[in-house]
Amino acid sequence: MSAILEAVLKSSRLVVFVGEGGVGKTSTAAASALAAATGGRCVAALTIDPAPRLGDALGLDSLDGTAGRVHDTELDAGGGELWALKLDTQGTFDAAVESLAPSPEAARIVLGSPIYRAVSGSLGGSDSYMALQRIHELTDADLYDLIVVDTPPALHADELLSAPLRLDALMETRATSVLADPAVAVARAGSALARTTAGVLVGILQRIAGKGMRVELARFITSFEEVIDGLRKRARTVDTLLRQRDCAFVQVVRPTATSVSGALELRDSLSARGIETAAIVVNRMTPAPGADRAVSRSERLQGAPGGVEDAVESIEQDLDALRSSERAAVALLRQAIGDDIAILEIESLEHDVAGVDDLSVIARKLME
Amino acid sequence: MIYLTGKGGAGKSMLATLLAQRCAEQGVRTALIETGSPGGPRRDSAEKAYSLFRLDERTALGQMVTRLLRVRFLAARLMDSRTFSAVAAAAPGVRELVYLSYIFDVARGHLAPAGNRRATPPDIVFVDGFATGHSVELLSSPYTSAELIPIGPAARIARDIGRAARDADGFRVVSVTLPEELAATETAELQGALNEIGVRIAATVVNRVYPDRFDRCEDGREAALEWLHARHAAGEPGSSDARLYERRRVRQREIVEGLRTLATGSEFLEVAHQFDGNGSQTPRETIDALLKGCLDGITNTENAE
Repeated sequence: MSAILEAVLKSSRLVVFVGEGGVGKTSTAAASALAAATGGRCVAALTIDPAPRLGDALGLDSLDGTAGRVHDTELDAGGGELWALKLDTQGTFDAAVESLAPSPEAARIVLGSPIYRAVSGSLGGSDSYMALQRIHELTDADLYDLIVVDTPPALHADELLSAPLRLDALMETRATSVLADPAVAVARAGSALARTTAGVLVGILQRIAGKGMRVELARFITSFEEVIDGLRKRARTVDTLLRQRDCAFVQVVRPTATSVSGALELRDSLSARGIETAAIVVNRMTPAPGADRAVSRSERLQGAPGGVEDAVESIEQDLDALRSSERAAVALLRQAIGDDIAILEIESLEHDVAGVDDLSVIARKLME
Repeated sequence: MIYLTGKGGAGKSMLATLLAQRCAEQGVRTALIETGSPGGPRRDSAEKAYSLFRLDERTALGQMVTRLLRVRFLAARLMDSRTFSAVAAAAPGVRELVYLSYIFDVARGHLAPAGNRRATPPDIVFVDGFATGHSVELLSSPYTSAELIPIGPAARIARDIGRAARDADGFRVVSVTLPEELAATETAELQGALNEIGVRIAATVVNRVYPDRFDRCEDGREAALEWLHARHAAGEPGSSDARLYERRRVRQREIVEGLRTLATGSEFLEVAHQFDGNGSQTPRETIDALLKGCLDGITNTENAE
């Protein structure tokens, strides 16, 4: 079954891992990148916000957006390469402004504006624009056979995919030009009635927001409009890449009812955008009960201190309840998905990923 | 007002519903505002002891514009303009400010709940808030917009809301988190970001904590675990599940204690994991303790200082 994931990692140029935060998306993506590199490919793993130990494992602690090469005996023997990169939203945004602004002066105005600071920080889905930017840079540089992308924890994959559309909408409404120069916008409106309406609206907007905001916005928008247009064009290019045959989406879920229903919604919305999920990884499955469970509890625990048997009984009941709720969640997923998409169940590692060795363990589980 | 925030999937919607339900049962006029955070359970619209509000952008924006212009007709015209929606959507902090203003309008009894004509001011409002990152944007929106819109009626509203959000007795942020590394990191970041704007976390709730099962053993938990380890080392069948459970529990304790240190000076609560995956079965005593924690949090903080 996981032959599918193996094939995906062998033949794709871009593999995107999507899913809610805390499902082990980052380590699954990193392990997959390692597997592909061990197989002889030159791979870039773009991680967003790795847990500290995983970051260390990938040599990311000292990195600020530049690629660092990961070494491992098995990996190096295969002739492949693994490069790890971290998405630095602010750095990527600043660099994009500098390269897309019409002039250094315009770039300076944008970078110094309080509006830019607010926009580029966290508002308005800047994470998704920047993830697309970085993918664009990486594919454009053409240095790697495969790019593995781990999406931001808080980001809904939908947001990533709708980013180009939202930028389009912003450009098309001419909202920016109305604010930049209301007089021109009003004059451009077709009929006399439309002109009056537009005039009233601009007046109201000014009344609500005050003149200060309009002046600040106008200065900012004049310089920022070309940047937005540039971002939009790049986002469009990546959007096309994401829909090509050599790009695959892998969903990562947890074995809980909430996580599974979220994953099904995501599968549908990806599908509605013309993207079919290649595989679903169900992470963090509680390991199956050990062989000791074949022996009766009283026999196993004979001679144990008082109270141990009761404690063990409640623990075994708890974990069995957990296993059966996990199985129910996976069954729900399988029933809804049918045979169309490969579903991989991965047992939890039971400790944090601490090095490349741990990633190899996960990689083997993924390829089993 | 109790504003619950936390990582997606940490169980905030479930806890918000249980808290509102319990509060209403005690005869307190209770309102619950859903923010429609993705992944939350869809609640039926059956009779509730509390009044339910659903925060959606259009309603909230309409409410704010009407209040600003005081003329319903003009507000409706403005709302129909594509330009206005685009500006509202694109201008930083505006959407968040509109949401926040809606939440405070509910608290002040300016709005009637769905399916009801009369608006009565509730005694307590629970907000099933946005996930961590978006909540920071929401709560800092009065500052973001104050920087952009220094004067005018919108600026007055922003200042007004900003003041209300920092009033620790009227507005309490409850952070719902999990005993997991990623969730703990996010909680620390949330606290840092809120500190910057002068909003304090009144209570931290760690959901899905593995309870200690060896606490009632005769010779103490150490002796019990030692016995099990010796059994395992000798290759005799003991309990592999107990070892698995303890490994997970020990890791959780590290994270929970880290969170407790972080929450020094405010209320700190642990909620036991419901292993069958059904959080709505959370025991009543736990909910009562939570409710008390949410409501007493501030008083305790003052005592601690």
